[in-house]
Amino acid sequence: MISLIICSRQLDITQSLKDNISETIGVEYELIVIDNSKNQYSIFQAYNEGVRRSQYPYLCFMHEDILYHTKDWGKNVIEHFKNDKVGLIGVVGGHYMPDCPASWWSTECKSGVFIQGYYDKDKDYRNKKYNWENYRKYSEKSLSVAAVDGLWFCIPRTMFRTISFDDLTFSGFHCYDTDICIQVLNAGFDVKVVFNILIEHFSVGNHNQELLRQKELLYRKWSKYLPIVKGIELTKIEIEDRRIFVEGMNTLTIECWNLQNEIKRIQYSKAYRIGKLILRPLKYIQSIIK
Amino acid sequence: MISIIICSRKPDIPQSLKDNISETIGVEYELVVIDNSKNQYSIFQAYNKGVDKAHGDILCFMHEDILYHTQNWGEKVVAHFKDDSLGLIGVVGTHFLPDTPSGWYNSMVVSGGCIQRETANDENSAIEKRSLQKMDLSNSIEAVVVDGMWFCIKKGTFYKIHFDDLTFGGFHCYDLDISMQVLEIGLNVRIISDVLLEHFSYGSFDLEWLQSVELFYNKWMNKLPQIKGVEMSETEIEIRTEFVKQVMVWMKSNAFYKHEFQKIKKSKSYKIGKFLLKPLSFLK
Repeated sequence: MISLIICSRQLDITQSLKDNISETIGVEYELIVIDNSKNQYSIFQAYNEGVRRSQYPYLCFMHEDILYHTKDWGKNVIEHFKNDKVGLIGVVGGHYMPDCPASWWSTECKSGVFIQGYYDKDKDYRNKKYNWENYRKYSEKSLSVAAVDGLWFCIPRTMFRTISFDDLTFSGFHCYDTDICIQVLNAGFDVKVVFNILIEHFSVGNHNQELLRQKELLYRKWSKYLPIVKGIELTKIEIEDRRIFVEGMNTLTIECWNLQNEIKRIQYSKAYRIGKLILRPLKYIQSIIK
Repeated sequence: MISIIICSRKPDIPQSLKDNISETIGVEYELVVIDNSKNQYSIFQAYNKGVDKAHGDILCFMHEDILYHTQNWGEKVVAHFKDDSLGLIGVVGTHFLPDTPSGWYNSMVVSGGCIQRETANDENSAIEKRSLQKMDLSNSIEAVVVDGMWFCIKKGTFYKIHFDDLTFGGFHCYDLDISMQVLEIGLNVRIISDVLLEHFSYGSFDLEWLQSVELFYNKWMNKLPQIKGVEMSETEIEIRTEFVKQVMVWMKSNAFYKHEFQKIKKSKSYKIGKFLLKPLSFLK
């Protein structure tokens, strides 16, 4: 009943992941691995290809570096989609997308339960369980959000009559998750974070200049529809302050990168290198005299 | 009487400021200018000197790049201090100081207003600092700490508090530290809205500032977080603390790279290299 779609950096996914899926999913499934070992696709293109190849009613898009901890999680997925209004489910996401370039987590209005792995100073693997349940008042099984994280999300196949991964606007491996969520919302369906599927994620996404560029594309595409607040209530001041914070962070980040680039520009400039070359013998003589 | 205490980078403050004060204050006052033209004092030492020299019963500590827009502001200050539970007043400040190193502004739960200009010569950039709390113009609101551009304390309070020149040096966090001391002895800190100032500079957020912020946090961490004058939910406290932490990480790395950039730009190697390459640029 579920088509699992994975965009892989290798020819195939690991056997341990295959075993983990078959042991935990609890429903009929098919595995669609898009071989991206030559980096020939963006994740948008790879996922669209996955949708084309799939045949089951529920599509599950997942990273290749995760592990399922919940038995029969496939049944839970199908259960959540019994509500016709639900167009997408994820395991962790944000309730508030501000009116500025941002990720789902930027405004710090997060919900979800998951295990995040990381490597400590000695390069040993560790993990930490995050319980973001501040907005979960009556131990609901799911909460409405504005966007979910791309590590894992499911969409009913029928949704793809009206939505698709936007490989015309975007390239690379960022913002596909937020973009598809906003498409689902615009089609009139709910995006939900579910609390009864526990996933361990082995890696942390990297936050680089590319991410910010893609976030700006995302903002340009959706600015008319922003801000989006789902599943929680925010006062005008809270909406405004969180946006100011995110914008401030964007500014600080850009400022930092610009400074780093400026320093590099001087370090690699002819003037600096020639100057250093000339001063080197002088410094050597100085140190001998001392 | 109000004693106006100013730590000046020059031997004296400009005549225009003296005129502005005498025209607007409306009560008896004295000027106590600490000459710091040789940069011999930290602002903590300078203000302590000011306190010693002052004769007034209300002490007004202010930057030298300020102009008053309110007539008879001195009377308003005196009226505020009729309330015995009041320890300190300022014009902008915060209601929330999180349990993490931060400047007063970073949590953004701030109140107050002034006309803020980027620099002294900037005619166009005047912006009214945004007021989060809609305050009645005759009113004031409780706060945790205020900004150091302008604040007043009763002389009597200095039997119990003083500018902490043992912990701190430099020109940062004196405002946060003295506000916390006032709270610590059980008096209130308030932001008032009936004195309008024009301020001609922003604070500088450099490595020195970051150092002072760390010192301040180490000194007061047991008393943090502080919330005064507003109500905040647990979630809101958590989120805003997280905001401040993230902002401070980037401010730290920015301050570091700014420092590195200045260093390499002014390095002998770069200067000599540039000097030698200058004649070559004609060839192109």
